[in-house]
Amino acid sequence: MLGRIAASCILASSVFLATAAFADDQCPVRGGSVTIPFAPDPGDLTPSKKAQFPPSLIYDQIYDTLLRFGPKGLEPGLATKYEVAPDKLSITFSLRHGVMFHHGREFEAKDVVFTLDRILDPKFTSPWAGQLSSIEKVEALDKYTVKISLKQPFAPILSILATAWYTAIVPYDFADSNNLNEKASGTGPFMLVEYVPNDHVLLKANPNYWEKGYPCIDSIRYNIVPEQQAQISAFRQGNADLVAINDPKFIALLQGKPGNKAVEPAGPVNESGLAINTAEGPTSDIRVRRALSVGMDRKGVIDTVLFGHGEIGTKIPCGEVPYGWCQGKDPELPYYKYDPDQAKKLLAEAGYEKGLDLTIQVSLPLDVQTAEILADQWKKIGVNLKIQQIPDFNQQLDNYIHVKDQLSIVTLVWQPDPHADVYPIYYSTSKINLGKFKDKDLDALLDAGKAETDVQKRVKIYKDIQNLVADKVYMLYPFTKPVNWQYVKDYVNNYKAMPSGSFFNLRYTWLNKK
Amino acid sequence: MGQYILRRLLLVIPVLLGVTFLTFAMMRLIPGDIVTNMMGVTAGNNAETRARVLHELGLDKPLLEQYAWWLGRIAHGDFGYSFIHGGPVLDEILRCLPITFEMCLMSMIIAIALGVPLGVLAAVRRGRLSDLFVRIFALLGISAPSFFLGTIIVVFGAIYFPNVQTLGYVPFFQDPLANLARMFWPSLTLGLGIGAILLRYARASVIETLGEDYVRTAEAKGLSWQRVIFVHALKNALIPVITAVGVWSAFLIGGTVLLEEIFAIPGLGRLVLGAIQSRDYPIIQGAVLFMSFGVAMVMLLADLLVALVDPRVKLA
Amino acid sequence: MGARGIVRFVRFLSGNPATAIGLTIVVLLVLMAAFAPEIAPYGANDNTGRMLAAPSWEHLFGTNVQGRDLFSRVVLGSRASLGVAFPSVALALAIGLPIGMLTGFIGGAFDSLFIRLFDIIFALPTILFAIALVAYLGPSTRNLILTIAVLYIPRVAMVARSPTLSVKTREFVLASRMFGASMPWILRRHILPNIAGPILIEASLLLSTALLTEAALSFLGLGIQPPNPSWGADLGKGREFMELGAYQVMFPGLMIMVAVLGFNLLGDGLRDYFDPRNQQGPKK
Repeated sequence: MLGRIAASCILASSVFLATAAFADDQCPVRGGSVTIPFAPDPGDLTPSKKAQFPPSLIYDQIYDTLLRFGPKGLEPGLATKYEVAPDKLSITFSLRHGVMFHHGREFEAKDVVFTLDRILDPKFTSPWAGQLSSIEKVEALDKYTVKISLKQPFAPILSILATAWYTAIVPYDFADSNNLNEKASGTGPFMLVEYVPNDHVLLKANPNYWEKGYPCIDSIRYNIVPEQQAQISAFRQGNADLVAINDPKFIALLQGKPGNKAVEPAGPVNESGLAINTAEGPTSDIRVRRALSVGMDRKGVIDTVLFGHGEIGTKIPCGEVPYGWCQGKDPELPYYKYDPDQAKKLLAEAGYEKGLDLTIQVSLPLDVQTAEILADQWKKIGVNLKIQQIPDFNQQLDNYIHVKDQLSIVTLVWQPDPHADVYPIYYSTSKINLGKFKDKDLDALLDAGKAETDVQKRVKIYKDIQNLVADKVYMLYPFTKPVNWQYVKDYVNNYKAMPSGSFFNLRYTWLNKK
Repeated sequence: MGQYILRRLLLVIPVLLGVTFLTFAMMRLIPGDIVTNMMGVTAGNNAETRARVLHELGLDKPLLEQYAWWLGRIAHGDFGYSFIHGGPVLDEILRCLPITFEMCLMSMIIAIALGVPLGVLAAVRRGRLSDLFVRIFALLGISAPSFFLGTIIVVFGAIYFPNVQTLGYVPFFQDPLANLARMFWPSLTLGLGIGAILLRYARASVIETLGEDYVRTAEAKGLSWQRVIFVHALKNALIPVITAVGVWSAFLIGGTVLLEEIFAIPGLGRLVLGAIQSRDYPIIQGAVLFMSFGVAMVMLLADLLVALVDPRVKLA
Repeated sequence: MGARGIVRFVRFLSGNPATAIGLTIVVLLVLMAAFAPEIAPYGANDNTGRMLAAPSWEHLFGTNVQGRDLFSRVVLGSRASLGVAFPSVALALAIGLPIGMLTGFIGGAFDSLFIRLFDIIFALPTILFAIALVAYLGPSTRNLILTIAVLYIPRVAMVARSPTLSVKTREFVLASRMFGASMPWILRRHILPNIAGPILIEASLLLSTALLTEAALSFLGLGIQPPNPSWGADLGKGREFMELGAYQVMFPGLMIMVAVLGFNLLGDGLRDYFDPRNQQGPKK
């Protein structure tokens, strides 16, 4: 099966070469700058050093990855093709020739070895060392060939290698000897000019970028504007060419207004997850949890919190490329249909016919609204939900993991692979098992999903996982939504959104500003 | 005078020690964990990674030892490096400081220009309709939360006056006019509130002074009331106002935090707010040290000014 | 105060329309908070089924995004808002006033110790201190009151201290001391009446800033916990919807303004009323 993916990659790369031949038409207009109001302050632009996702939305313009996500799945990046050994224990990558780093040296196999070794090196303390712990050895076979050996079959590896957040390729002779927030060197379409914390990040076009002729624009400027309303104001005042809306209530402010156009969202991948303490308290009773699930009107949550701009949440969100499965409007999962009477019956069986009190912790604004709606809905089945707002998300998560809270709403970030979505929060020995449960059947399925490389079989495994989680109600998923809804000014052409919310495709964008 | 200043400066030291220690302790006491924040929940909860990160950041030592170490570095002029991006803390603070300073100065100018004349007017016309109007106007100024006023300016400004730039920061030496034009809005938002407070102090103290014997004597001697007000009363009446400016400067610096967030200005307040969120201790410590020092200096300046204006006050 | 006192106060009010307005506002607010459940047509968290409806006879102030009646929330929210402002200022007065009077009266090392302590709290940026304190204690109404009170204690103490310093050297105080009057007696009998004016002004100012601090902390998610209504919390939330209709923020904002107006007008008036120099009657 992996052979088939490889084949499609080679196909994609030949398609790519075909488009590259028409270099003259690719940028009808050259030059200009795109300004994006951005939040939060990225803090650190060093790849693989911190777990924060937002900085990667900036540095995925500076650095490339071996593979990358295209509309139909994985595409070649710095690697033009790869081959998986029949025993699935090694992958050999052929690297692109003639790619130059910003500091003027040619990209070669040593850089890939350096990048991956650096993440695995305990001294570097990368948050991704655990993610990549299946890697046994990375070696350069020659200047343009890299072989990655695995300890055991590890299906997510290709997606991880396509994600700049995890494995942006950094040069071996530069990355450790420079503060990458001041001076950076990658192979990407844009080069770091300056990063002024809390103010802006300025990137300029890389004239030697390997996708010949791109980028069309001269520079990208990320202005750090913390407030969403202020970001929209900047866009209206003409101080921004692109704005990313995270909170759907603001969509109405730009939707259909003259001077701008909506960018088609790439698919809902951002889930709101409601963690339930299944280890103790009333929620350790499966009937109570099932009551909460059938007592939740997911459609109602989407209508009020998201103004309809979302999908019913399941663990593996619709729109995850390339492994996403859209479940349609009404996922056929147990205890998903809204039925307050059944909820009351279940609660009565569990001995709570007089109702019960639960506490929920929330921090992000959208989660606060979700909690308020749930409090409304659950009141009808006799559950009195007390909301506790925690000033920051990090603290809330910490509370939930270490303190025995009953419920907590966690916004789960985009992940390139379903394994990364489910494994850390479901596996019984994981320290961040959000339901605080141990389930041998689930562990077996999780292990199978980690090793299985056949996509068809993987789909089945992850569907089984979702079924099991929905049946036991280890976690609740009110909704899934796109990471953001992007708007651009009328003069911005050839820009597409990515599932991760990244501005990746700005490299192909051109402006016809009068 | 010189001796007095020296003594006051020496007294600032224990205050700064107290402030920094309090900040130090508070930041470590509040829930939320720096390691999970930096490394994410998976890696952050791995015991080995945790220990290594804590050790690298020097957070594995006892609290008092950490504080003593930090103090020792400060004594050498070393503010340390940011936990998050690794840049020197001092550079960061020195970049943000002038911005916040400009905003504070501008707000104070607006506040004084609005508050003092109106306060005097209200006092002189005490009990009359104009007094009531001025006071109600002032109270509206006090009562509008600055984050609310700020959002109104940012949101409705962009809709109805799209050509008026309200957001972001332009360095003064790059374009002085654009700098002032943008800084005006957050400064106005902040200045209105403080101005209204100064107005109350000015009104109260002018009323007080007008009741004093010497003013009555001056009036009895037949000096015109304008002369009485402007020469005698005003000078004395300003003394509590100057003290108030000193006291409220701490509030002013606090107020910049929310407004810098709303108007996207890269000042000290936002630096600290961001650092609190990411638990970037060295930045928090350094910035709070500078802020407190600033407040202490303004207070000292206010006291010196009072001494200059009021011959009865002896500096000792 | 006796009947004569009431007559005198009413006469004072008739000459001071501003104070009368202030008193009326404060009395009305307190009544509103007291009878909030009777006045409010809906419960604070009832979903009326109409989202983001503009003001109408049915929903005087409109409805919010969850279909909650904003008029009811404003009325019921007065309990939370005043319920934070009054206790926190009362607590600050209860602790700050004695400390201020004692430090001023005793002086010496005792005085300078507290002055240094207050200098530390003064020098800390207010909002940052509040953020850290609420974050540490955890957001709840009780902790909100505690935090605001801690912030205000030094200010009350400083306001109480300086008049004490000047009053304690006056002849009548020195005389009482000579006759062996106890310190609490002197403080209560001589000092307290003389510092009532500045303290009343400070208290009215603090009540207003307490409302604003509650609002600012709600803006940062540290205030009254949702879905409970409070003016600050509703203002903070409505802020995000204000482009869809100004009514989303107008009324909670207006209530804060009116309350601040009331507190301050009344505070100013009371100061004039208690000012010994004003006993001859209001100035024309």
